[in-house]
Amino acid sequence: MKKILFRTFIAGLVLFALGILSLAPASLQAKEKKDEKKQEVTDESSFWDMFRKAFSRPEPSYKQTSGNMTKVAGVRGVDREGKLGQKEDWESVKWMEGYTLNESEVKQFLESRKLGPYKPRGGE
Amino acid sequence: MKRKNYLKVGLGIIALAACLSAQKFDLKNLNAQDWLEAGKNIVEAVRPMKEDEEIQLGRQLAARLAGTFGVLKDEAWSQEINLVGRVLVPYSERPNLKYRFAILDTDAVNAYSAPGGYIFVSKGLLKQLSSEAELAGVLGHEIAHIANKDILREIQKSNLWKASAKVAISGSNLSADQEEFLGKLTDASWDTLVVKGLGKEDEFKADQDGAKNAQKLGYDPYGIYDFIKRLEPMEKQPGENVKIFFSTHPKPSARTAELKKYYDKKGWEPGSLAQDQDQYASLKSKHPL
Repeated sequence: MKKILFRTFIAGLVLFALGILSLAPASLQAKEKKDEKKQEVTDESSFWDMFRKAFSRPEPSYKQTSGNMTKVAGVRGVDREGKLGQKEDWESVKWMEGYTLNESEVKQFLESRKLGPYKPRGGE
Repeated sequence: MKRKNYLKVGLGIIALAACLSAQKFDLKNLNAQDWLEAGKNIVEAVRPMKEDEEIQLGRQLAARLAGTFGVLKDEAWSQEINLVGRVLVPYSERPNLKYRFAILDTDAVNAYSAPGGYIFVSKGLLKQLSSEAELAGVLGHEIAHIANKDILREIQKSNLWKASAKVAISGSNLSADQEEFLGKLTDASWDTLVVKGLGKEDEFKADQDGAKNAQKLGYDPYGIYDFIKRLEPMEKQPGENVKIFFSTHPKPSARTAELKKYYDKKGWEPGSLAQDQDQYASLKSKHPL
């Protein structure tokens, strides 16, 4: 048993060394071979494509789907499929972005509530 | 079999796999430029989202939230949430970001924080609160989600981001590809924010950070606790207005239990700091929602 395992190990090492050695000369002719390779479609590559497909995690789809409305809804049909009825309100976004408070308002608020100390907003 | 033998077999298998990989992935045919390109792609694929991209995504999500629920532009209430939010921000973990606050015109109890500093609280939530300390706790919680980049972390973990991270989504004139990618990111963010919710650890952390920052400012850190405690009786039979809140957050009893542990660790007692119930009650009676 020991001998078999040891031989497996040695065989693995030899194969690995062969793989490493094959890198050097091949990289010199990389450009030429690359062009040729593009045209080659081997059985091996189709096997590996299948292998890769079988073990890779599928990309989640965020595309809208029809039907199957879930019961989570509650508010105005907000659920996974609720996107179908979604609209964007850019006016309100601009309104909230444009909302400003002046420094004296902020200081007065802190003073009236006995909070603080006042700190200017970072980056301003 | 002895441990050493396991090691040998393992190494043998690894060596075999390495040979096969080298053969299959055509590593021997890659030149220096290819290696460089491959490395660049890997770095780009795991790059964090830049702040201007985060804001772009947050704006998109904010527009969708506003479009779905509507925005209540009541002057007195807008001033209230902007003032409380504004004074909390410098005490938060990310004070340099510009935060914006608005009220969603819905009776459903909820609050949302979109990346880039866009924070929404619902009319229904404001009705449920009974003091400014509670409002500070809620806003502190939402600010913490943004400061901790909770949604961004979820997005950056997704295959969607890993696959297309090199497509920048900042700037005013986005190409069709960029628009498409931004749309997909917005869908994914919506999914996390409105449909699935964040992880419970993120929620517990945001509760604690919210309480901590409210306390640093001078509000009673028990504000957020009092509000969540009020929702506990609804746990077994959540009404229509709290359904989404309950489906996207941990159970109120779990949140209050976590908060209690945190307060005990800090040695905080309820009611030791400002609650400002009168101011909040006065606003509620003068400007009914």
